Amino acid sequence: MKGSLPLYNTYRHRLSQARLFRGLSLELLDDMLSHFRFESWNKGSQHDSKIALQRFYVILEGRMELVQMHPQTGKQMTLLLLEEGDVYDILTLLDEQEHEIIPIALDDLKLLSAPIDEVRAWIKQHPEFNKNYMPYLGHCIRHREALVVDLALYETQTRLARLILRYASLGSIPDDVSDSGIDVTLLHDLSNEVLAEMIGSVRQVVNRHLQSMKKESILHYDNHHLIIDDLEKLRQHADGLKQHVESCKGLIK
Amino acid sequence: MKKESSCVAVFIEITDAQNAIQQLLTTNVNEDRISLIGETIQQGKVAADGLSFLDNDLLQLGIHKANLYCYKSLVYSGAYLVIVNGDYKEVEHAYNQLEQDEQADVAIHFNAA
Repeated sequence: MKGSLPLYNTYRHRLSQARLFRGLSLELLDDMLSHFRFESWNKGSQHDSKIALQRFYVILEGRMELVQMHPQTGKQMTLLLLEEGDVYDILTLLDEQEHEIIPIALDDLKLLSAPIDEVRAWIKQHPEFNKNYMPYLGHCIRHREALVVDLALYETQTRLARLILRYASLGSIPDDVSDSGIDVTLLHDLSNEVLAEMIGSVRQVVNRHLQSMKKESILHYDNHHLIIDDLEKLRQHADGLKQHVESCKGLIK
Repeated sequence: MKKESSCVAVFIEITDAQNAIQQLLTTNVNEDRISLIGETIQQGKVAADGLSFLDNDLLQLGIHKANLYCYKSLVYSGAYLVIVNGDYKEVEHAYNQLEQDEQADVAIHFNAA
């Protein structure tokens, strides 16, 4: 990307807000930007996982869904939603191996992309970049671990509650929850089918659990936005296993 | 205009844009896929019926509205756009050629299938 581009300063500012690039000097950002190009992906476009072997992507605007698909049945599992400031693909950046995951644009996406070999070199050359990279990697590993734990240990309703809570906290839950509730912006506009793919369930089951949570006044939908009304009750649902084990212990006694 | 992806290069001088097109043609980019747009010049399939059709055509090529306004303002301020439309591989190939041009600012726009 050349400095003469009309939107160059805008892109530099947006890049400086991205998690991996926060706190870097303007000089370093300019040097890095010279390797980037601007890309847009239309809502619904999906790409081959092989693109991550060549290029590294920084999301400037919109959400990207990372999906794994069963080769025979076509059954899908959404592993992660990425948002503004996130990057794709952190795993290929790490091990240089193909990561069989399909990136799909959930919204119209604006991205910057650079050759992945170049970005790999930045990790070695620039300690300040590496300083951002390690915690971000940790954050991604924790997210995947949470998903595995949810799938292995919790019931569907608990998994759904934990998913909503997890994505609500990614947008940081305010200390004083207002009367209008907590808008889980990362999950807005998603169909029950997509939510089901995120917790390894099916649309009908997710629909039933959402209705039940609505009846309990835990959450509601407003103009396709999922709004949490009762955070405490949602946390209780998310703690389902603990409650279940304790109740079983009570029965044994 | 068919729904496709695109690679867009912005040039300040028309001679640079025309040279870039010649360079693209030597690297096996199909001539039918290349358009040149300026306020007073139009070649190729994009906005073939006049600049008033630029909006529709660019939207068909995966360009979001915000970028579309940016490109239009560049055209009306005297800049030139070299647009290559096609599938993922074709626009990637065009990008790899155009990015080597010192005078070009290049971006890529992928459309949903």
